[in-house]
Amino acid sequence: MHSLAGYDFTANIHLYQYEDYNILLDVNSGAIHLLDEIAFAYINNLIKYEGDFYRALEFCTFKYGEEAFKVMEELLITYGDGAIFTEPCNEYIDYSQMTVKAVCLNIAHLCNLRCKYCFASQGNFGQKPALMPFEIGKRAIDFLVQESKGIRNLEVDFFGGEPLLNFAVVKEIVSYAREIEQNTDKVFNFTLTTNGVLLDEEIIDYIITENISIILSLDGRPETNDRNRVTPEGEGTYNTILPNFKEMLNRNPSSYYIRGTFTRDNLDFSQDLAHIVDLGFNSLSLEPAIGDDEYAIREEDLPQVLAEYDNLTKKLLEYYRAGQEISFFHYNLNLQKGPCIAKRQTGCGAGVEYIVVTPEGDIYPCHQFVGEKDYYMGNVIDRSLDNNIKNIFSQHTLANKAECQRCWARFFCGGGCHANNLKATNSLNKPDNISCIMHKNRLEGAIFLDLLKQIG
Amino acid sequence: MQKHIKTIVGPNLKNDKNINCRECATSCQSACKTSCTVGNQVCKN
Repeated sequence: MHSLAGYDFTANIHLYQYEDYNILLDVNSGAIHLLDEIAFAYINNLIKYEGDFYRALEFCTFKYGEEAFKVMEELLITYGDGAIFTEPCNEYIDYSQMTVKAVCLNIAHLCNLRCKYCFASQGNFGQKPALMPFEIGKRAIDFLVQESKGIRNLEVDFFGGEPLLNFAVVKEIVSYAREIEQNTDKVFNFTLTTNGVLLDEEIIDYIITENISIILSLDGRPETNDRNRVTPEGEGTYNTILPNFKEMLNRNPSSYYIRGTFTRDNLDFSQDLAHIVDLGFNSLSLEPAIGDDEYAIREEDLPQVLAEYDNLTKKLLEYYRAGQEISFFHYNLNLQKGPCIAKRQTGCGAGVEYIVVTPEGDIYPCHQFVGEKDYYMGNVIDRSLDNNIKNIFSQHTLANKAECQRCWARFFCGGGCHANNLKATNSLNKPDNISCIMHKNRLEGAIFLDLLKQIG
Repeated sequence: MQKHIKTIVGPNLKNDKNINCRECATSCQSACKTSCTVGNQVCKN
């Protein structure tokens, strides 16, 4: 094999430099290599000369002498191992077998805060404020059990609005699901997302006892948090929620995330990460505000956002070198044992594996589609489910997204968030360019960090 | 161990034995809810 003529390097490898490291991702196999200067130059020339090994060798020999031959030899061995320049996976995946296995229960369509950037219209999703009755929650659980067929691991997220405004029903639903676990092979994994205002000792006890994963909303520094996360009277919430979050941390929950949003107003968000870490939290997520409102990240913000992600990467490396392991959600790549190729091609699963149920029992493809009449899928009371909507979402896989076909990051994002895509491009199939650029930048940093951890 | 090209992560995407078992976590149920990713989900098999 002396030529890779016709090989699509752009689509199938990602060659980049991060700090002083030369990194190559083989997109289709998931293999990652560290290259020295000569190998980096050789592969750059291989791309330049459209896969001609000898022309690349000629150039490198001129500059690097005999070592260039060794690079070519190593490259051929790596190629023989199926770890570089691999071809796209064309394996047939039967998506029709995908069934609902995760439900987001909008347990309360109201909220005790008025966060300014809230995508859910301050908690009611633009609908009548409501609390989910237990009967609706019970039917949603029954619906999930029925629809999930042979899938064992089921997920239920208590979401809102503020789910703790309806905590009694949360407890009833969990009890009901635990009964089902006793009589079937189903396992329920619960998550609860809260602003923390109502988080008291009793609720913390319950969350710990029931092994519920908890997502705690905090944006970072007091001034960052209180700029947007405010009470109906417009007062900041930092001083109210922080003691509650610390108490939760003291109780050692099985799984938690501090989850923040960054907007155009805190593009120095690595400072917010540092603040959260200084508070003692080591599991966190900071998400960009997406959309078209005044808070959402815009194209002109990207240079600063990308530079800030680089700062964030450096901070995470500093923590690691100081012996402090910080789990940052979007950097938690599982490079050795990540999801299979089918999962990577089908993406988030909204409308197919994942649905949201409103307090009235209405079903939508995900929490960001609630109230969108065109995406109404049915109701858990009569167990109706519009298969036309399900089919639409099941077809919006990576394979059907033209813009994603030649993107090196495609197996990490799965084609992106449907809702973001729709907001930005009016199409489920066209990716939101701003999200893509941020995602690729995060991936480069995350891969770099992971490699450094592995080589010590 | 190669000198110029060090493989830190070997091929893994095409070696799946339990492909499409669908027992892994659903992306949007964890911490984000707004900016979807799949690469950080863990395979349970």
